[in-house]
Amino acid sequence: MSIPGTGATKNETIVLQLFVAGEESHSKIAVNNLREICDSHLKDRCRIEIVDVYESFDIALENNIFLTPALIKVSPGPRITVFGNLSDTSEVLTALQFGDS
Amino acid sequence: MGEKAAYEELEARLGEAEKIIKALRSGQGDAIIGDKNIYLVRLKQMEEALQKSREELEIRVQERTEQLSQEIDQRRSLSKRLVETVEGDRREMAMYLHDEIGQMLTTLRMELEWSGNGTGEPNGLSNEKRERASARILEILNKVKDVSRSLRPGLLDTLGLAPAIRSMVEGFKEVSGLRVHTHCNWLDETIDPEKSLALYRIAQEALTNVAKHAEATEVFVTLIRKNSSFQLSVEDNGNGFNYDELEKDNSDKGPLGIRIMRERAVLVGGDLTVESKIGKGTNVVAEIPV
Repeated sequence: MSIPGTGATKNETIVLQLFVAGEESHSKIAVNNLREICDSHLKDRCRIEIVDVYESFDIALENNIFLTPALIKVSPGPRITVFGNLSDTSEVLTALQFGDS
Repeated sequence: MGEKAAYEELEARLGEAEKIIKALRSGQGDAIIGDKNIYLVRLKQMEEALQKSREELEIRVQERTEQLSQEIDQRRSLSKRLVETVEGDRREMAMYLHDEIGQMLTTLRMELEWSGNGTGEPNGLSNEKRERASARILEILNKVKDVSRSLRPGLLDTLGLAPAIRSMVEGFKEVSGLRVHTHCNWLDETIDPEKSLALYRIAQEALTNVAKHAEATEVFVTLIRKNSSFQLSVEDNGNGFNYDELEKDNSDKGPLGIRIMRERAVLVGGDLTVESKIGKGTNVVAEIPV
């Protein structure tokens, strides 16, 4: 799948932050789903940072994270947040503005 | 910040709030980040855990109920055996007193009287002394008969409950000096012997209690045949006592005599109630199904 209309050039790195709550079930599912989405659709362009709110509570607060799992597209802009376990791939891609326009 | 920017920021926050609510509604949230704490979203697990613990509790309650029910059955059957043993012993004692001792005393008395009839045996006893000894033996004989009767009421077997109770009441009147009135609204009906004996013993125990504790002057013993039960009531005009009816349900409470009377009633399928108020006398009522 291509990455049309995102404002990102083909080689620009996509930085994603995934806030999880330790080993909770939806958090674990979100981690797996994210890795798959990146491998399948955003090959080699993804930089995923997993933030465990149990360990980095202040970072969660700084980022105004109210619920986990929460995926933040840090760059390229705009900054977008997606909540949930990311099971619906097309929905995630659309939300992150990576879908076919 | 200009108005437009402020508005856009508000919209952004509302949009985010909507996303959070949507995620929670679809059950995809793990944890809610508070100011100082992390709150795990656990509704489904909590419901399942609650359901499971409810089911386990039900099972345990059922097992415990069965266990208790068995224990009650065991205790009842033990009670029954104890009562049978006691009654058996009493029967034997009554027979021994009547047959052996009674016989010996009668023989002794007869020998004493014959010895004064000039049949040829000098024995050195004056007439006066002989007569006194004979009277003394008669006294003892009567006492033996009394004891024998209270141990095993022969009338119960031959004539039935009402006559047996009237006879017992006569004896009680003599010994206690109380005024006792009996009333019975059936005469000839034969009652199951176990039930008959239970009612007799309850009446006996209740009267004994009146004599010992009540400080009464008058007692009413009533036997009523109702539609499907026999009711025995022993009511006195004595002191009464503080008997909390609630205590009757707790098998470890209540005076021993009352517990025993109740047990006798229960063993033959009936029940016993005690009504008493300080200064207003006591009424013991046993009801036994036909």
